[in-house]
Amino acid sequence: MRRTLEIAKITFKQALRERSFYIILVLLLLAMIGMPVLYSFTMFEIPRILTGFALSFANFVVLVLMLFLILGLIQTDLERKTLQYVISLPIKRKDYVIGRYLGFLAFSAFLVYLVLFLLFPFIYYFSRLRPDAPFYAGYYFLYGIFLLVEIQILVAFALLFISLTSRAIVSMFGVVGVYVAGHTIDEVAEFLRTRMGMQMPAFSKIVINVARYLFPNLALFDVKTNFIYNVGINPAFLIFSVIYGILYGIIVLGIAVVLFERKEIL
Amino acid sequence: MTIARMQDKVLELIEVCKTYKGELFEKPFRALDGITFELVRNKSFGLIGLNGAGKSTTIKIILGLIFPDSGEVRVFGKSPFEEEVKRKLSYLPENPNFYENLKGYELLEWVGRLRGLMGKWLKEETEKWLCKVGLEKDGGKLIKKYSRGMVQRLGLAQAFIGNPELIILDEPLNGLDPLGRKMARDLIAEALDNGATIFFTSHILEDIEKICDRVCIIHKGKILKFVETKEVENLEKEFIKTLEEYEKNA
Repeated sequence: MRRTLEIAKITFKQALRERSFYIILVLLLLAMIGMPVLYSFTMFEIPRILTGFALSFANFVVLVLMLFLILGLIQTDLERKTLQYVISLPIKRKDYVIGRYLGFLAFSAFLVYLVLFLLFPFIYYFSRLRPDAPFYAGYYFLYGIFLLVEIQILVAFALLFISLTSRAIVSMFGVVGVYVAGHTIDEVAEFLRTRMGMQMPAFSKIVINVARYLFPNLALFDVKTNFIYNVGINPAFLIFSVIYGILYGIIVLGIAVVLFERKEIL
Repeated sequence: MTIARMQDKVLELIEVCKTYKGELFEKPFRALDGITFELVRNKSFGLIGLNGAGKSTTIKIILGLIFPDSGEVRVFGKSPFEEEVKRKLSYLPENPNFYENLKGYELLEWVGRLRGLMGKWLKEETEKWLCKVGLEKDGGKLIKKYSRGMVQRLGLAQAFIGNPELIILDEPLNGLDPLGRKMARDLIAEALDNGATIFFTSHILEDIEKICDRVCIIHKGKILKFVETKEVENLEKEFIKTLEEYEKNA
């Protein structure tokens, strides 16, 4: 465990010094400046508009973090052959996979809550100035958990792709593919139930149904609108979604660990 | 074979074969073809060969990065995948790429911690090795700001920190200026005096001649000859002669 944590700590430190982290900080600063501007241009429902903006921004930050920072660091490990060196150190292969996973997750949590905490005072202050709609602070911070559950699934997939291939580009496209499929597969499955969907060839239906069980249902974590408007929130369903996401991520990570043990690090 | 003799064996490769499958439409490539050699404690062993001879593949197999198709690899009498083995071993890759977002001393501290150093001891060792490789003033800089020679010096420091018993150096003198090369040779000599075992590859046979007790000539995945450096006048001539004889008979 000590060696896993050493990998996690170094991952966090690396991420903290990545250029894309500083770009995210600049974007966060712009978002903070944007809050009063948004307030001055908005006529109604100030708390909802500002909460929507903040949560969408946090969502955007998570995407930038995944695409540029996390996948960037993984790419360096593979393409510059740093992985060879790291695996030669006194660590087990599983220490690398789990350590990277924990490090990326810790950094994601730090970044998501940095965004939410720094934008919160603006929403709170402006909501009190014009309280024309309710502001649900609890839901606002709870949304961070859903973002983190989603990102831990994507990180687990990124590590799974590292175990399967030595080409960083495959890993990148794989994660993007999982993200897109995860957010759309539920809608596609819904489409199958419509009259038009029923007319689709049987093979396509089988492919979609297999994909539905294979890919994570990332749409479950897109609860932004529910949280902003306090509609359709079922605590049992929320808890189920989080447990489903965590279990899914852990299973993918487990497969990544098993495959990585057998990987030839060329 | 006596027990003492067996304990003296730091590294043993027996009939190791490795074939790379190759990409789509590429023919499989036999990188190692029945390699057998052993390395005895507190000796320096050189592996020399042309590009593609199988040197890097041999190192990767010893480090447990890739798996042999057949044959056996024992490091300190055990599988190279065991954590206990890895704790006794260090590796300097050819053209090393360390985590560039770390500072020089952070990398050394990290490697030191992984090798079991802690607290004050870790700090002292880090400072000692930064000084020994001439990076005492640059330890606080990010590795991405290092020149090639500085990265190589840092690579040497991380290979020696924590006094590993088997030190694998892949082209350790690459990118070093004449003073740096002398420093590296002195560090290797010091490690040998302290009881370490050195596994060394280089294209520069003069370096091998100066550092190694025993040299293995590898060509097209096969071992052609073992040479005791004290017994040959000119290693380069011996190397070329061996390759020419092999090609003539092939």
